[in-house]
Amino acid sequence: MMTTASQRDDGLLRVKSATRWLAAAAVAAAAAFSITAAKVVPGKSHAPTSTSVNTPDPNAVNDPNSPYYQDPGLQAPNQPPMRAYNPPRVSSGGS
Amino acid sequence: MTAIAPVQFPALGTTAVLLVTEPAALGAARTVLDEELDGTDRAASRFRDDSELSLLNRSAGEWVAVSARLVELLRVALLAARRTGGLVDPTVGQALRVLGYDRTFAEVAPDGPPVSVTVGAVPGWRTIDLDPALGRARIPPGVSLDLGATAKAACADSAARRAAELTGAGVLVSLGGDLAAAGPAPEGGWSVRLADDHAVSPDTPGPAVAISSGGLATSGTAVRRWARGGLVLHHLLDPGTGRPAAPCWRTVSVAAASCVDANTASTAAILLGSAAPTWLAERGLPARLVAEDGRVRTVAGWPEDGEPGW
Repeated sequence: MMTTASQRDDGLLRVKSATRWLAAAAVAAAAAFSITAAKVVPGKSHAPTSTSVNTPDPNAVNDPNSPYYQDPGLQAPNQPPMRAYNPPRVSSGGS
Repeated sequence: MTAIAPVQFPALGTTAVLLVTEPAALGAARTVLDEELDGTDRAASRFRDDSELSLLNRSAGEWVAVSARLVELLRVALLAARRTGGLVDPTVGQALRVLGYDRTFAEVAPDGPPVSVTVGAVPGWRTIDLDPALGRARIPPGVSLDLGATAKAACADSAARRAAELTGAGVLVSLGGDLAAAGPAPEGGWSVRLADDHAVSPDTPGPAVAISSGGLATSGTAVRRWARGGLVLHHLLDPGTGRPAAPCWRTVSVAAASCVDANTASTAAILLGSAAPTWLAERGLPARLVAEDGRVRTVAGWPEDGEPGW
């Protein structure tokens, strides 16, 4: 019985040790990933609201220069031009 | 309602025309238009040393405080670039300058000696930093912005909308032949003569259409031309080469929901060349394209040329 209990305790200790090492490794891996990500996609230093091509801001949905901009595109008129039935009062041409 | 005779005067290096459907609204509409023109000129003129844009162009590489109006005009220019895949690019300023368009066009010598310059792709609109929240902008060293076309169109849109809201009348604003309509249109719509040159009298025989709202713009290579060393140049530059667009369309007229969108599309169409009709049709933008040889093509519901309807 003593041998069985000792073997059980030894096993539990090994599981506990392995769990600690796994947790430590996970923390280290997360830290390493964060540092790498920070270098690859650096944050903004000039202002939290500024927009730059080098620092895309996921919140910049109203900034045309942001890749996150939600653009409705060029908008067609409510109706196409019609044939004119009144003499023109204005001209459209190159300028 | 009957559109009264237009008020016409020089502005922004071109011609402004104002029409209203109610004579009593003319004075207030003119005041609004004058305010918008003055604000646009102070903010975005490339030819005024004291404009905000000139200061920004002189301060390349540095953040520069800009007004809410210039923030909006820069935003409009960036949108035009984005929506055309970079064809309508505000960073063509330096390329225009080295090709000889370095002052208001009336002062540009119509002919001159050859220009010895190295031209290439313009820096590109994505090099512009715009910080709307802090009211500032930054461009890289060596970059010069030209907001000419989009700023003019935005001015027309804003003036027409504000004047219509203020007076309740129908208002049409034309700046260099780029039109914005707001408020109730006259019966039959606003009749517009189409020509190579916006300065052509509307009484001149030729095609005409009517619009009731939104914008209509015409871009072309027949005006704002000059020559250097016998080489004919014009102001619509291909951002990919820094040179005037290759000849294909003499003029392109586009109707859209706003003057800015119409102007953006008509400028892009000149640069797109033979691909323009498909590009316009895919976006549902009614357009009339006149080839260099005079042949006319219409897309997306633009009416065929015909006899006058009056």
